Amino acid sequence: MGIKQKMFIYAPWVYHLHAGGCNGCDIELLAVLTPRFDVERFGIRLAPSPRHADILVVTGPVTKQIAPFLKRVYLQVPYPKVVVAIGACACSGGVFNDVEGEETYAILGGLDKMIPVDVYVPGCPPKPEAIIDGIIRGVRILGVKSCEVK
Amino acid sequence: MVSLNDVIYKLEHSLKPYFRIVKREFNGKHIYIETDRDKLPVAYDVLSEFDGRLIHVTASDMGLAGIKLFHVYAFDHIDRYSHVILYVMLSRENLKAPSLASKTYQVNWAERETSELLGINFESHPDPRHIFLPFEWPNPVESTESTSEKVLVDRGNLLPLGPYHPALIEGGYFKFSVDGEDIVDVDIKVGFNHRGIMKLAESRSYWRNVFLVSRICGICNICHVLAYLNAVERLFNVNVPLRAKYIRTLLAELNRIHSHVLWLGVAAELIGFRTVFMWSFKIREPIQDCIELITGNRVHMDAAIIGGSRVDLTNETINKVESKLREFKNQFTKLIDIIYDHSMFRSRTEDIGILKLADAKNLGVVGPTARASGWKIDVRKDSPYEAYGEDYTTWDIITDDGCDVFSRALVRLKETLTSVDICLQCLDTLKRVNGKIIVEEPINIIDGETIGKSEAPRGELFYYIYSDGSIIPHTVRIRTPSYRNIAALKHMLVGYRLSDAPIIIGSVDPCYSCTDRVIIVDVYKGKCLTINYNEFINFAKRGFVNVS
Repeated sequence: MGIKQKMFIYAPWVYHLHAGGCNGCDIELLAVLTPRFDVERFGIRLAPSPRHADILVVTGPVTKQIAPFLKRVYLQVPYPKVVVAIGACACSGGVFNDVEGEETYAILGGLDKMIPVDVYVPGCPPKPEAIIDGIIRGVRILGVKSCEVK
Repeated sequence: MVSLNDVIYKLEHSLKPYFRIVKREFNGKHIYIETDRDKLPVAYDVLSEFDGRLIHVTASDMGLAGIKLFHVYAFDHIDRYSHVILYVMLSRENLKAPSLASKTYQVNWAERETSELLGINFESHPDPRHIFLPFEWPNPVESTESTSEKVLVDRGNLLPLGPYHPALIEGGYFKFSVDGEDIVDVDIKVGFNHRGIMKLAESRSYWRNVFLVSRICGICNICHVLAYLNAVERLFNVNVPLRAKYIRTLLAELNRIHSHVLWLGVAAELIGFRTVFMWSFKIREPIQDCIELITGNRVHMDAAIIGGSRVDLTNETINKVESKLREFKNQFTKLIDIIYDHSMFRSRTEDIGILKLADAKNLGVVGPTARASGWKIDVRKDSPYEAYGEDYTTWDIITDDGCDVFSRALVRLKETLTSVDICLQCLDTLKRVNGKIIVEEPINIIDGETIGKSEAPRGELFYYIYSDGSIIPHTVRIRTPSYRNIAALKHMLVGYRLSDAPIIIGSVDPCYSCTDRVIIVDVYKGKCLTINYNEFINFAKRGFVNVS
């Protein structure tokens, strides 16, 4: 492993972005950061700004009002970046899709309609263990992407 | 003591000749009255004289008959279960109604919402902008003189907070007008989390809607379900078995405990008290374990369904939950003692964000925010549902006269202990009461309309359901507690310092999701700086912003 890769995968910083979900995933993500699950032992911590982040963690079905802001935050994250979609809503729109499975007037229905997604963590909400697993997978992808950095 | 009959007598007298009692429901406690649109302001004057709470203004599309506009008044804090529902039929050719927003700020948002969703034109509304619809929605309404950005800038420097906002204090978009450090005026924009749930609920069956309304809020999910079921079960005459009532109450109270402890952690973090943030999350985990043990999931319980409960508790589970709750109570009492005597916590929260009782009544705040202003309202006592009545469990409403952020914290902390007591009583009864947990008779769908309420951790939750006899509800209308509390923030924030803004916003426990970023507009240089919400929090902790 080169020094570049080590730099990225030993201390990945996460930026949490709420894109209109129900808060279920958000409180589970918060539980991940607190004493019982303590994700800081992997060197993962919340970044104060998207400009400092390596991993963008997004929850919620992406409402139309939040979509322009989501795009702006995504563009602010420096390369190499990894996007982790947490929860059924962020993966596909979940329960907020209408009866035919199509998005409604207020949501985009899934994060991948807006920005490229690297890891999907399904569940309503996913358990903290699943979220940690998703972020760790994101870290591996980050390691691969970091090799491309010149 | 005023009774509902006095109110109706006085109302009939002042609304003549446009007064017709359409029906009395629920032992005559829910009264539906049809009147004329011009009489609505008069009705408001009469009913607010009797201390009636105007809990919602909403409307329902009745097809060819036109649009039905409701004013729902609650009198349940005076006379148990009492509600007066005033409605007027508006024809599609003339969709106009008088606005009450200039009389009372509490219906400002409700009228804007009704106006944008059903096209009713509220005459002389002070602020007819869109509230929930996306920015690019056709025909945006221009902001009026009083709220335009220019006025905010004229009164001081403009400092918008949002719309990106952190995990838990999901807020909207606050545009502060500041003079130095002091907040002069504030404009609140919400709706970033608008997912069109009321529309979705009108395209799914009653049974599937249970799981949809649960997803309105992950933190108070079962309270939404209970308010929805309260309405649906009353409409379909379903008698829930006793054991199911206790199970639902137990789960709702576990939910309240975890919500309040979560709030404590977040509030502590907002004032830079990170130790309490970690502690409260640590002692909250056993409660999550209890919920997982009973329902199988840590957050969304999906345990209550129409006619009863989906899950049952074995004696083994009851004992485990009981021991965990007792341990939680010990730990939490210690935490309360620490917070109560902590000089830093007190100095950051005392005499901040004051909301006097008269203002609280005028703004129509609900839940712990209202109770911290000394207003004794609680749906669990006023309109008892599930096992909250005196026949089932014994407990008291907790109020405080401090009116500031500290008393809001105190009310929530004490309420958590009350909730633990209610849980223990429920568990005790569940050991003795055996029997069915769900009705076995088939449920018949009956046409009609009804309202349902429950007490979410943040306050009174209101549902209106209109059934036309099909398997899909014709109309579902929801008013969440934060709807009122966030609107009241405008009153609480003005006059305090910018560094107190996060804890004041946090003190009402706002629950509509969003956002994490602050945009600072420097009006003198005309440039726009974007700083992150956490930097804003740091600013709140340090007292200055590093905008290099």
